[in-house]
Amino acid sequence: MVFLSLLIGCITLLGIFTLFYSSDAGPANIIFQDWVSFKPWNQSSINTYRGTGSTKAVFFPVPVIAGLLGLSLFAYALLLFVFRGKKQFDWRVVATLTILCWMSLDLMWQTGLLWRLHDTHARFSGMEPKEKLAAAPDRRIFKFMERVKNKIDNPNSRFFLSTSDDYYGVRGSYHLYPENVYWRRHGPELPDHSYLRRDDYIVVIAPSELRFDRNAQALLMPGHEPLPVKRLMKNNTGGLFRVR
Amino acid sequence: MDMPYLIIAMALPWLLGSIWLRPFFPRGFSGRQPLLAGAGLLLGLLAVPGLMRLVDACGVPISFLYVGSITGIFITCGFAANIARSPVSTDVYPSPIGRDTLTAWQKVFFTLLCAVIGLRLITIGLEIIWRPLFPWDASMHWATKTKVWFDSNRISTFVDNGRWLEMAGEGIFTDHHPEYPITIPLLQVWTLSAIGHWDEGLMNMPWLLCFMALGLMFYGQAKAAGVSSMVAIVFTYFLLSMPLLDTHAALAGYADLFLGTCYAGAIMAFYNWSLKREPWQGCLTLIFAMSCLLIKNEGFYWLLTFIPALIVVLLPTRKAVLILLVLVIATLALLWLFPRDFTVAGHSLELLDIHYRSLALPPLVKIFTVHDNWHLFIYLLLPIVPAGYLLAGKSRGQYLGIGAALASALGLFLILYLFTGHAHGAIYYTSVGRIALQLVPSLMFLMMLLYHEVSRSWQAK
Repeated sequence: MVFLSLLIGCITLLGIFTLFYSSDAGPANIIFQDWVSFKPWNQSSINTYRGTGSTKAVFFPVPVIAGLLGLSLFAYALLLFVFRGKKQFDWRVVATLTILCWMSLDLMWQTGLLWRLHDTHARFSGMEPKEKLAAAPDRRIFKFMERVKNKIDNPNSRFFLSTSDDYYGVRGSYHLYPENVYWRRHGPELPDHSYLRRDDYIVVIAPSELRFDRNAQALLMPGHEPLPVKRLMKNNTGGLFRVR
Repeated sequence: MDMPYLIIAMALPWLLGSIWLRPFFPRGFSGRQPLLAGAGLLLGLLAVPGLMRLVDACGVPISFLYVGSITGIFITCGFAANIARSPVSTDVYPSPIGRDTLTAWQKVFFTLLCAVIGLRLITIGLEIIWRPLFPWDASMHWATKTKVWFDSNRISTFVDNGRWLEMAGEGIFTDHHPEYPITIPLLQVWTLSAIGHWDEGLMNMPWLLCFMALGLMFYGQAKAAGVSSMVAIVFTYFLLSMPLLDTHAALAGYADLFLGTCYAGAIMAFYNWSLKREPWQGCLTLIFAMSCLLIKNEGFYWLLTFIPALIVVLLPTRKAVLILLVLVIATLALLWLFPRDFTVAGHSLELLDIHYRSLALPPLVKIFTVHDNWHLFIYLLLPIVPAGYLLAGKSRGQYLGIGAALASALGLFLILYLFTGHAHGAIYYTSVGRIALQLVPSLMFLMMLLYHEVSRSWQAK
């Protein structure tokens, strides 16, 4: 009864797909390929899991499998009606259909997890902790901060991180710790100059509204007085300055 | 080289929690071993950061040598307590539940599900070990503290940006959320101090332990509630297979998995306490409910959900309904009278800006019904819970307490995303899934209980 109900459910679902989604390759094939086209972890993975490879998917696995479960249960009810007197309602059929549908979703998820694990293994396995950081998605920021730390001659100084990019701000300040770091999210890139003092370090990551005036040896920020600094380092990622 | 130290760092909290819980768990009740292992593990994970705070308050470095030694002393005391007070025998606490026997096919299926859960644990464990710290908030306000405290071997103070500037950063640090509880970074410091060097993968191993603790507690409490082994293992598998839960373990670094586990630990113990009023289940409820405060600020609101639950469990129905009504009116009046800048657990009325936000509703529905965050969870919850309450008959009363707690939690969740400034967390699919994660394990437990009720009443016909 379980398999008969599931079969009827599958056939009905395929019929519905064909009505809404005509293609030479077969609607089920196209939809399924979208469901199993896995992508590496990204920053939104921690917030939600869509279950599809494409961001413009029409058919998502959860409502489709929920529909399949509903159709299979309906088919089971019909079969009970057809074979009334011979077959009785069995709670285990409902439970089995539910578990099978859940497991079909979970099989795709587990396959995706293994695919991502393979990706992680290829990127990081066998590396020392620092080598992993140098191979991570934000490696450019990490390497820049390593260079910054090598330029520091007074480890007890304060660090002010300036950037207009949120991600660079998060990762940049993170890589600067355990130094004493100031980075204000969604705020002015630097605090009022009255809070800054001689020998403070200013780390600038592009893009930033701060500009370095080479002639005046000062950092310029809109609406603020020029800040006298000495440039200690500069590359494509950003620069390091010490307040004079 | 790290592995022996890592194993010790993971085993010590487990031993600490389990050894102290063991004498209080009566012998022979169904699900005792998995519950002892799960609750002990979670308790240990919460106790070790507590010991670190104690050590730091005494002016001693929070190194593995000192904290590990004190943990060892507590474990030894726990052994002594076990000898002095052996677990209460079943003669005093007779188990109302007989041991269920599985057929050959059921044994095969049970083993299959255990194997699937095992595969999930291995996948998540390897992902944690290999990948350096990845998700956003983890590097914005959790591991920032870990870095500073691991480097200095002491718990330095973190303050907000403004205060840091005012104090010129002298002896203090700042990050994006300095007011968050410090248990999570301390767990990372504990692991790091055991292995002795900075490793962004290994420091997150407590997340795997938390995931295991959730599964073990869920199965153990299900069995203690009289649910059959088959139903308990199926729902444990359902719980541990949910993609967003797995993701929070694999991409470790956020606190939501810990908060969801603590809240579920409290809810499950509360349900079983409400059935038999066993003191040890009451203690578990109290410990895990209070622990919500140690994980994240919103833990305070989940703790509040036990107030209506207690009212429903302890008072006659009419009186309970009356008091709940008065409470709702009093809450609304307080909201009306409170100064707009008065802050509770990090939230002020001014920041919340309470009014209905229609834009948040479609994404809120979508994360449960369309996205694969929880597999078929909502499609099962929606029919099973009402059917369970309807078919429960005389035993309906036993689900009212847990129902009141979870209905309050759901109400707060919906108010948060439909009526406050946090709606953007739903509109942009950011925080809504994470906050839901804090409630889903508890809702899964309620769903399992009510499924058990529905199937039992159907079979009785």
